[in-house]
Amino acid sequence: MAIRLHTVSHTYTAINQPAVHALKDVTLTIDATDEFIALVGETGSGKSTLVQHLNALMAPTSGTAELFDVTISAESFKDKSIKKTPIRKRIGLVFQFPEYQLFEESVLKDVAFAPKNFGLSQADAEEKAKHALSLVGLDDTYYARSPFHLSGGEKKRVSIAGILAMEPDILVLDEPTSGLDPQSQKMLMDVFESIQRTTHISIVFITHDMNWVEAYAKRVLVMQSGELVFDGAPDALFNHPELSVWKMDLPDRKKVLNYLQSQFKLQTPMDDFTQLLNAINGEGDQ
Amino acid sequence: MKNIVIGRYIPGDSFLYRMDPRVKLIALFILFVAVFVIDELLVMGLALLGILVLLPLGKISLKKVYFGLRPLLFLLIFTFVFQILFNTQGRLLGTLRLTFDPLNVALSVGIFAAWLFLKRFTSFTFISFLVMVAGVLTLLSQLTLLASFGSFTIAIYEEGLLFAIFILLRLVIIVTLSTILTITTKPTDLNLGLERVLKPLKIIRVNTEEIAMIIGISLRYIPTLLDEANKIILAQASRGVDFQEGKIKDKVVQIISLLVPMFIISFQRSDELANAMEARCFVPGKPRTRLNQLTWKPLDTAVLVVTLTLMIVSIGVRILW
Repeated sequence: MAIRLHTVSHTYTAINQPAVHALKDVTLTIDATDEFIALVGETGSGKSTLVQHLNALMAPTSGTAELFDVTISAESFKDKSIKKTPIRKRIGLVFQFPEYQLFEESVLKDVAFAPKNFGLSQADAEEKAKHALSLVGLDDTYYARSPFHLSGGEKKRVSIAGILAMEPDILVLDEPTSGLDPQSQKMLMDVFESIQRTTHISIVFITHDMNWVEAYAKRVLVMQSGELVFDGAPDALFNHPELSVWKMDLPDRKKVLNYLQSQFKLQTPMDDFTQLLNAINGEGDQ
Repeated sequence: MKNIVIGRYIPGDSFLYRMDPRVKLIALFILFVAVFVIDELLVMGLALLGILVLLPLGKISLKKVYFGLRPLLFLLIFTFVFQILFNTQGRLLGTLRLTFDPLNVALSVGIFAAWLFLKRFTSFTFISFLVMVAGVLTLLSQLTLLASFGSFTIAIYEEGLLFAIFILLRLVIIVTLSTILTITTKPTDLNLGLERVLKPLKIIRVNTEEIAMIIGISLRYIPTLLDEANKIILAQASRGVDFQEGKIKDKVVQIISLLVPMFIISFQRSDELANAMEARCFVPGKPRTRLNQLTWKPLDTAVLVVTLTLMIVSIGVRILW
């Protein structure tokens, strides 16, 4: 197990303000290989706090996070002899807003920043950066451009490339598709899928779009008010009775299927359109 | 990062919270004048005592004030040490002769290195720093085994010491008073108070509304920008920047990686704010109604009377002493 959270709770405290329990007793394991996990939940349910625990940016207030044999707890987080940077290289986290990380004068330099921090030479780092940029669909015309003069979607891709260039063992993405046009969203999700398929690294992504969950994820985690309320396959989630309690929606495909099913008054639940069409045609023939 | 208190309003309830913001600003100004008029250490000590009494009365914990003072700790120590070292007036209190020889210099460097190393494991960095300095000074003054190659005499004079303490007290009082103001006053109230207090300056064509607005927005955005800085630090930490460690050479890049996004985000924020204000047809200085009207209460008169008395007393003491 690469990541093993054991009864992790996190409470935000500020002077004279009520404490916010962002995570409550979350227990969770994530493999180092072949996972494709969607993390869903309404706004403020603790998703972003959870992913920041995955690469030791935050420490649990109580409970422990085992990240590649390094155990992070409230006490050990303060111990500076335990290095967190190596964990962050192995578990790459892409933040939601690219504005928080872009700073170099050119796209190539910015993407090469992380690999250079982890001890690669300038030439090697740029090699990795070029590869990462090509993965997210930015060609060599972008290399010399300033990251601040790019469109929102292009900035997003640069920030994702900035983490991909570290070649992490586990890739964690906080809303990778937010602020992108539908085509770029699909393109990026395809990129993640192909990375996952070819390199077998584990990928965790936060999303609000159930279509991506259905199309790409092998496993879904549902958060609600700081608690992990569901951990299982997407199909199991879509058929779960408490789906609406968790403020979750069905993917569009499921909605269409359900609608047609009820219109044609079919009794057996259908999982795909071919099955449905056969059933409808079959009835028509009779 | 999280505990920086400059300009941060902390909800609470006490007479300090219930005062009219105009009165708070005027009272602060009067007290500043009083503190600058005082030229006797004893009176300054009394003033500090007054503050220490005021804090529990106003239900403000010392801890919050300490968090307000902490960013200025370096400045305070710096002025204190310089006063002691370079003020040579009055009676000589004592001297400390430091002799340098290869052995004790090497040991001092060793102690300093040990402190640098050990400070990671303790939470009392400041206290351990004082212990370290005391250790080095003792070592340099007491232990000279090998041939010395130089010496330096620290001489402490009575005036110097007293004046150093005096300046320290004055700074602490001023910062504490300002911290009390920002802790107990909502930025919007502060802004409104400022606008009203500055109003007389309109006669000499000073654009008081804009000044009040600029100050109000600056105070309002300090916590926001601190939160942004925190997010940037986390995002860069994910890319292998270790803000706590690293060599000096790396530190420069680390700071640039924090400052550049910080600048860009600040400009974006101000752009958005300007748009939002324009979308609401905001024109500085146009007469507007307020949700909360300022009301003058007996408490406010009392506070003004008390602070004015304090000022007059301190002026009187200065003239008559």
